[in-house]
Amino acid sequence: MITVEGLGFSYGEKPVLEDVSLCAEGGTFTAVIGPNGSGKTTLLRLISGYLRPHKGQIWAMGRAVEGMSVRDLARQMAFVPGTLTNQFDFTAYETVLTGRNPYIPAFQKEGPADREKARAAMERLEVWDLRDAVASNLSAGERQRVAIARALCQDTPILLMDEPVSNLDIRHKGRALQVAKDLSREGKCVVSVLHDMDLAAVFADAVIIMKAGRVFAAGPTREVLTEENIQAAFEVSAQVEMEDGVPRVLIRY
Amino acid sequence: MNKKAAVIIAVSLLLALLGVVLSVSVGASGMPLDRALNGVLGRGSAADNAIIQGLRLPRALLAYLVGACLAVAGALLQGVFINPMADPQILGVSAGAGLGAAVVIAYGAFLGQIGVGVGAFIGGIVAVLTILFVTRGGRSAMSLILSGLALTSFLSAISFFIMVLNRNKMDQIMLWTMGGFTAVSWEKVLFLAPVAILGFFIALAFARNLNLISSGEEDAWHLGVDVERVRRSLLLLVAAMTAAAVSVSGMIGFVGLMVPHMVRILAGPDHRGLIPCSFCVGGVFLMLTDTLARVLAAPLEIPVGVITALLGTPFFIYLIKRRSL
Repeated sequence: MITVEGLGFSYGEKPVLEDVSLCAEGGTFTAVIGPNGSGKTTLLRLISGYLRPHKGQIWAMGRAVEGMSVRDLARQMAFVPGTLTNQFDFTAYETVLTGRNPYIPAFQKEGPADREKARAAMERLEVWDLRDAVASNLSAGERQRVAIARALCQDTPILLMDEPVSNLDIRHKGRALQVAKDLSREGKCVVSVLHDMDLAAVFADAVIIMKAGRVFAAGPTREVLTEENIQAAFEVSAQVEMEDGVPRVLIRY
Repeated sequence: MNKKAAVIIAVSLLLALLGVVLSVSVGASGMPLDRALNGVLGRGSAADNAIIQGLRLPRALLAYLVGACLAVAGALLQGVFINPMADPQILGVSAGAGLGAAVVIAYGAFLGQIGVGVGAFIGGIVAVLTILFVTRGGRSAMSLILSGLALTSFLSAISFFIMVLNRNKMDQIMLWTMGGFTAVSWEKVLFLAPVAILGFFIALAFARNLNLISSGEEDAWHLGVDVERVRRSLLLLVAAMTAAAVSVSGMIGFVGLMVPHMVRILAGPDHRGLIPCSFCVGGVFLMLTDTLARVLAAPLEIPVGVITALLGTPFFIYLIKRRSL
């Protein structure tokens, strides 16, 4: 699980996050939403330890992130980027297998258990058939599923995702988030930046709305995704209807 | 390591053996194979033994080691900068090492081969640090290449300046800027061999980290790679291997660019195969090229750096065209 207290961060003079506090439990899927530039991605990068906070404290699985080595962090948290970049021609399988890196000492190779984990992750994301394809030649959606498979292969208690499904088609959006949701049911703490409020409404247990570098609202999905919150945070007029206990958000542009 | 990489290593080692035999038997005084082999084993005539053991054999070995060092340095630079156009010569590391060597030759000749090596190492480090500083903001392929070009011009200008001030040592320093193996000795072989072998194993220890860095710095970080630490260690290693090579042979360009590229096309981008293959192919490539340099205009010798530049420049232009930089 993740605890953040009084987090502050700025790029140069420009403050990006101010006094952010939040909590994400194991066994839950938390969605982070908010307008562009509200600090969602920066928040995720801070939690992962990639960026160092200027103020405040972050704990992951009860340990202060600041004091952990890069390798230790990678055993606690996996990160799914918005796009998978690759300059050289590694195959999809090789890419997924790199998820085992934090567990393998310098001169050693991946063992059968590592390969099995990579295969299972790829089958779960429906990319096993693409294993021998060069990752950079895949379609954007396929590449993204490979990125999620890699994070799954990393086998960490925390899964951070930065707009993981923005490039996917409708069916694969649902499939990928269902996998993330299932993982949270298996006990993982899943935190995902999402663009699409409807997806957040359907899949997330909890929602954090960011606005101008601060937490605007946070809590159980049903309580946070209200007409008032959405209108105030996104500055659009919205209508929310409940359908089987799931809020459906209608935006009027 | 995959099967293709294993095949490449086996073939290049075989070629290296044949290359040594070829290399010791051709030259200003050609020798039939049996005489050359007797020379290698010390069973030939006194004159043959002297030519083979004193000149041709150390020269072949030295060319092999220099080629291996430069190719591994190139592979490391390409991985560290996620940039297929990187090479010790192009980024100015060679020019830095050349300047360091020139300073020691001009003002500290009493320090001997080790002194020249250390001078070259310091020069190489300065070049690496300069490149890191200049390209701090963003390391696009183009900004790296242009910074390297500017740095090379600047450092070479200083080298020439030192040459002019030390006219009596001009020939010696000139050798460094041409790049070749006209002045060989076993001392140089014994100096370079440990650097090459140790450097190779250190590079190999970083191979998996390099694979990860080449798929993006931030991704690598999230997968447990301390990218800055790896980069610093490897640039230090590149400076050391380049400096050691440059201090015995002068500046030989493009080996570090061409060899890893050819290997990557044949064996794939996995650094666990790429680094050993680059070592073996780079070694045999430079050994054969140097043999060619000795016979092409015999009895005159062409500095081998001239040949690698003649081969390497069109290759470089091809890469630029293909990547449409």
